[in-house]
Amino acid sequence: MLQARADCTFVPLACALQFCRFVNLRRIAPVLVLLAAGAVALRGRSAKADDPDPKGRNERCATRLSITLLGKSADAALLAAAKPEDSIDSMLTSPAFYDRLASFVNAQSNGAPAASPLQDPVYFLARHMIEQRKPWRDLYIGAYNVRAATDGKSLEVVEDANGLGYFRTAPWMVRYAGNESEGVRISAAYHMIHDTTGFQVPASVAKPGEDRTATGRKADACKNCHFDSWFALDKAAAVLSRKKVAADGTVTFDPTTITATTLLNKNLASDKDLVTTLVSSDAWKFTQCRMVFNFLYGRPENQCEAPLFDQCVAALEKDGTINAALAVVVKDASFCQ
Amino acid sequence: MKTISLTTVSLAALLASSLVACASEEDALETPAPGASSSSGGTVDPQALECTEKPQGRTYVDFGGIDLATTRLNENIGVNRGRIKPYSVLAGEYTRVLGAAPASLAGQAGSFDAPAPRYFEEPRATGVGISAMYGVSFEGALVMAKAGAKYAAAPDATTAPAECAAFLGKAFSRTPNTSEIDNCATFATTKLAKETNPQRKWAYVFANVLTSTGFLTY
Repeated sequence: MLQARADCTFVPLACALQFCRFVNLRRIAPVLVLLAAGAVALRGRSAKADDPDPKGRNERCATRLSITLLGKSADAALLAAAKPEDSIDSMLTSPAFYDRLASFVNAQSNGAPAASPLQDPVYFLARHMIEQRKPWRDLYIGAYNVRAATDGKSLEVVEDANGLGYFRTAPWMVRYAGNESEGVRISAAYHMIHDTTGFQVPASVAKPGEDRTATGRKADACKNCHFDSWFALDKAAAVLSRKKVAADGTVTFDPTTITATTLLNKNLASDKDLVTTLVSSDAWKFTQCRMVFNFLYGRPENQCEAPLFDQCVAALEKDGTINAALAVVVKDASFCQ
Repeated sequence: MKTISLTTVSLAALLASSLVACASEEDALETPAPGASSSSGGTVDPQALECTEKPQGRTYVDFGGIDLATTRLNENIGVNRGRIKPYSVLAGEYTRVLGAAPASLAGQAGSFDAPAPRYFEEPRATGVGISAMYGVSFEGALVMAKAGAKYAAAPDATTAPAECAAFLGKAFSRTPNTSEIDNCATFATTKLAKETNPQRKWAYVFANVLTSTGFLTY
């Protein structure tokens, strides 16, 4: 987004100064002149329902829809359409849309791209949910596994009674196994809470000699996040299997280490209890519709968009799919405004 | 390649544009709210950018009892738009405006931080990206200018406003306002004196348009 707060707008000063080091200013002089002269004039335009330029309005709407939903420039037919919004339903059932939204969800859950498709269970399961119009909560608690496909080059989704969304898939468990000395999967517990409720807490960096064991985590500076708060990471991690590393470096997970815990105002006995509780909350619904706004607008919903946000949540509650929730927002007249 | 020596001007312009961009929170919003004054070069009523009549919505609390809606910004509907177009759409966008995608665009994914497969990153206007965008735009615009007989003569007081209006309209998908046309025409007729090739003059003009927010955002 073009924002002044963090990174300013168009050509932020800090960025521009960095830019000056290696770019021949003479080469870009014309654009800078126009930027300066037109900065005020060029801002302040949008497509509106009462636009005196309906052709332009439709072109802008077509462009916005196509780029947002498909990641592609609008084709000639869409650009010329009298009502580009009529194409939304077909866009929402296109492979390009499945890929784009699944990629977006993947990026929300993982802080960096995976090196290989075999390490991307979130993408493949999210895409399955979107493409098959499955209940969105099953991305987190559904009885699925995401395993290597027969070609060995990608992952495939299969039904598995022992599944728990992507949280019990091997690539995800390994990626977020963490480095706790006793194999306590604090990192996994945090990501379960974050992915479902949007909750964020910055990871602390160990100081030399600092006790990072369970005893150390009970110290005053640490115990709130690890034991006392609603998201108490050690309590959440207690219901997860522990990581074990063999002499050859192979990582496995030991389910015999699971212990019941009291968290989220419940007695939790398993990772399924934990995630089911998280997904049954208002925070989960809120986070999913905020994700929808971030996908469609590149920013969270604002105060004036609260009613539309509530419609998104209502659609998610009624239909259960992310498809329905997203359709409500993108089909609203304000999207092409 | 002949270039235009405008280093001093460009530095001033750079600072000016940065200051305009960062002047205030209101200025960060690309589009005005319905009813906001948007006359060329005029000011936009900050209140029109804000959500002055906050609707009563549902309350959502997290497990800690925090109202999640408190993180919402005070903005009006339709004002905070203007996302940067991703690299993946630029070929199509150039084709829409210039008739063809510049040849060098295909090798520029790194300049635009194109995301990895199965991943998403919101495009940003970086220095490298803007520089690449200008180079690619100039290349494409020059091909178009060389192919058009009407660009055989340098822009003047008659042709510049007309061609600027037409090109701005195509690039921005809307009718440009007077200020935009004037800025473009003034640039075309007063800032390119050292460039002697008429087609290259036009290419500079069009490259400027293609590196402005009206084209870069959606």
